[in-house]
Amino acid sequence: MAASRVSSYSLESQRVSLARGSSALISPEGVREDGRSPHECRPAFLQTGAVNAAAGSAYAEFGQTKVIVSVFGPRESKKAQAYSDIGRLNCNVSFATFAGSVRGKAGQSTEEKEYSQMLYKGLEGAVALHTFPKTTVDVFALILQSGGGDLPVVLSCASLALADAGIVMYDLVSAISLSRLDTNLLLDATLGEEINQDGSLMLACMASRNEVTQLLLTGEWSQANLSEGLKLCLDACTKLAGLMRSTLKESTSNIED
Amino acid sequence: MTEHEHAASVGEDVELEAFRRLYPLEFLEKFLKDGVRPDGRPLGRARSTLISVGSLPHAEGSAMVKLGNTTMLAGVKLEVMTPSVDFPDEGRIVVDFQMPAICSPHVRPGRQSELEPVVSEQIRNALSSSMMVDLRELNIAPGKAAWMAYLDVYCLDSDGSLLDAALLATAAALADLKLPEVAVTDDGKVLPASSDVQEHRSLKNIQSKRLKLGKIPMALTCAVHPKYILPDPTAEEEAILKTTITVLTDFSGQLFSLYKPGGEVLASTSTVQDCFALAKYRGKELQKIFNNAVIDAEADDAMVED
Amino acid sequence: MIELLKQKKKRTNGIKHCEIGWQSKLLSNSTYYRPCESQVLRLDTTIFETSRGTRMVHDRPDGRNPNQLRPLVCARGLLHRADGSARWSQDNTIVIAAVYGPKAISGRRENPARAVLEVIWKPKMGMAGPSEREAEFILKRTLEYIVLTAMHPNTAISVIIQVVSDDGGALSCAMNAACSALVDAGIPLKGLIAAVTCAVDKDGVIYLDPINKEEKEFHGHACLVFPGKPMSSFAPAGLALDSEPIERGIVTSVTKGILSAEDYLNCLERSRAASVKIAEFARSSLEKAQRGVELVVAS
Repeated sequence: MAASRVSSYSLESQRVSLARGSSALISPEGVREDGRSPHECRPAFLQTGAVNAAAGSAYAEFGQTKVIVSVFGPRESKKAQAYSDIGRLNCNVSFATFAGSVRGKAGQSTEEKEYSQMLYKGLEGAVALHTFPKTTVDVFALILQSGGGDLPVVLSCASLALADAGIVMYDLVSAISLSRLDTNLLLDATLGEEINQDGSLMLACMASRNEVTQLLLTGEWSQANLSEGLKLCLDACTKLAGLMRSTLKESTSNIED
Repeated sequence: MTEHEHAASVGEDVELEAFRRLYPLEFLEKFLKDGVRPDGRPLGRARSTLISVGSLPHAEGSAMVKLGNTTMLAGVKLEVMTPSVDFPDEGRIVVDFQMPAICSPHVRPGRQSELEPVVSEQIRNALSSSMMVDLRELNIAPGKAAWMAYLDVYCLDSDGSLLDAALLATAAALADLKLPEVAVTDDGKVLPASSDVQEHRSLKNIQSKRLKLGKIPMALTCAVHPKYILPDPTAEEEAILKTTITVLTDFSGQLFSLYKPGGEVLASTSTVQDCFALAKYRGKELQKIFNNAVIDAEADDAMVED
Repeated sequence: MIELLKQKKKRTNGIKHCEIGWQSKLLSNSTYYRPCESQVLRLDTTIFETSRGTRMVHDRPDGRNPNQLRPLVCARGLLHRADGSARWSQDNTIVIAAVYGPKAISGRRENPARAVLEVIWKPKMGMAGPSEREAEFILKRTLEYIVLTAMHPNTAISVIIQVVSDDGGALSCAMNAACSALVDAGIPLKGLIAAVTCAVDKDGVIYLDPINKEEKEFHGHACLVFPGKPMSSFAPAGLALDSEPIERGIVTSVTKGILSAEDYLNCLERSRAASVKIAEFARSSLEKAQRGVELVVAS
């Protein structure tokens, strides 16, 4: 009754700051808005065991992007599901209402559905499903703050949470995104860069096995640009995998202490 | 005393974990008899409490509360609304408590947890009875525009006493809330203060401000055993004892409400009075923690402005 | 005072007529509770003495004395398809409760140790919102206190509450209705419960069984549930409170608005006294109604 007309005050102000040409996002000297060089990743913070109620969990912070992933199981599958020789992976991604600059609405959005599906596809190849037949492992992610590259951060964080829960995997999955602005390739793009991008590339891989679990390409790409982009992503994924590995080692050594 | 030392006293044959799962009540009672709780704290003590404010840049006010393992994240987002005809100079606060699937193995995505509406209602009730925020503070231009504050409290980790933590996060987020500087035109259009003043005539600037807060509500949940009262129970204690009493007061111990939704154990008048006393003690403790967190935030503000 | 009583008399008569018009079929096994006049007079001498001294008592819109309940009506077995049902009314607040079960369930909710209770609250109109959800939760936890769930493991017992009209105190009305419906369904119970709502004004004067207008006007109000006095010697160990008899314990307490500690404890005392009356009425109505049902079968 009172809120018949709700104008989105914050939306207008946000648009002003985001709608800019690519020239504003990267200086002629090749320095990005946040002071990074084009092929530099955002500072990352990873931590396992963020949620005590879960079997395994992880918190990841890549610049302004902040996510929590909890893993439950392996536990009983839904009664309605048919018998299965191998285990099931059930993924769900949701956004907190205050994740973006405009307040989100409750209920599953199409974006959440899409991300859930993508998360499943990205992890499916890495998890040894045959080790937990008939049961389900649930991977739930909550994006607390959306700051660009949400899906790759969720993917990396989820694989860390799976490892924390002791689910058998072939390797950790690390993922990174890359945005193409004109001819510039910007690694690990922020939200502002993503909005203005001409093309994007997301790569999820098992770095030590040199296998790709997911590759997502949008926009128009030249052969040269693409191969350079892939190389950049693979390189960054390998570095990220190293960071994830040391995070896991740290958490186990803490327990021993 | 650590869990390992207890394991030895519990019995040679039964391992601690098995005993804990098979005989949860006996497990708990063994601890209580010695005057400690399974997590090592004394009977009448709440878990360590942490409040940090201003952690969400997209929200105009935010707070994170950790009560032992129970973690709450609250964020306030503002929108402009047209006030109702009956209360032309009042804004609104809409509180929603959310339990996303990450917080507990008992919550499934897409299905609302049983506790979500219960905690939401209790927070709304506490805010309105304590009159913590005068809704007229949210006024922009009487009859034309006012702030609508959406307050979402997310449970990130659920380990008992959810209402206590959620209410604390709510109060801290509202204390952290800063109404932005805006410009109002004659016909009640609200614009960001930075927008071009030339276009609109007779703009009025409204300075950014924090809300004046009245009495700040708090909750103390107590799990009730026929012989013991355990303030601030963990999820395990809540599940074993099945009976809780939640006392809602302000920091000075002034009672607003007493909430006991059924349960297996009856509460006598003396139990109720004991809970009042525990809440009064907890109020003093919380007031210090709360004030420190909020004052810290204000000091940060001052630094930025300099 | 005599004026008040006259008004009250008129009102209760009016209700009775209204009842007949509304659903005459129910009258055969309905029981009524009308506070007798001598009782009203006895109680109102105490009400003026609150803990804060002598106070003026507000006139109540329906001419009641602050310590007076609205007339209670309870009818059982009015729904044919449910396993048990009851209609409980306190003047203009009318609630129908239906009980189904114990019935088979499957899935995650199934519990091998005990029966699962589920409560569905249907508001008078519109969809159930968060406040209805909360009422469901409170009702469920309250009924869990009396239902001997261990006797029917792996089953579900559903209680459906339909609010017919709400003029204050719908929650306590629903508790009483649900309790009668459970008895009607033959679900094994530990005992009965009696629910009372009371409101407190700024001066600390307590008004029993407030109507909607009073609930909104007054400072705060509380819905309190107490166990009925046990009739048999069956009193499970661990339930008795130290030195206090069972019927003095609180099963459920839900309050809205502001209640100081002193007001709350006063409410507790007043409601306890009133709950004895309600429990007595519930018990006698259950006994009488059973006879009524037998009569129907015989004819």
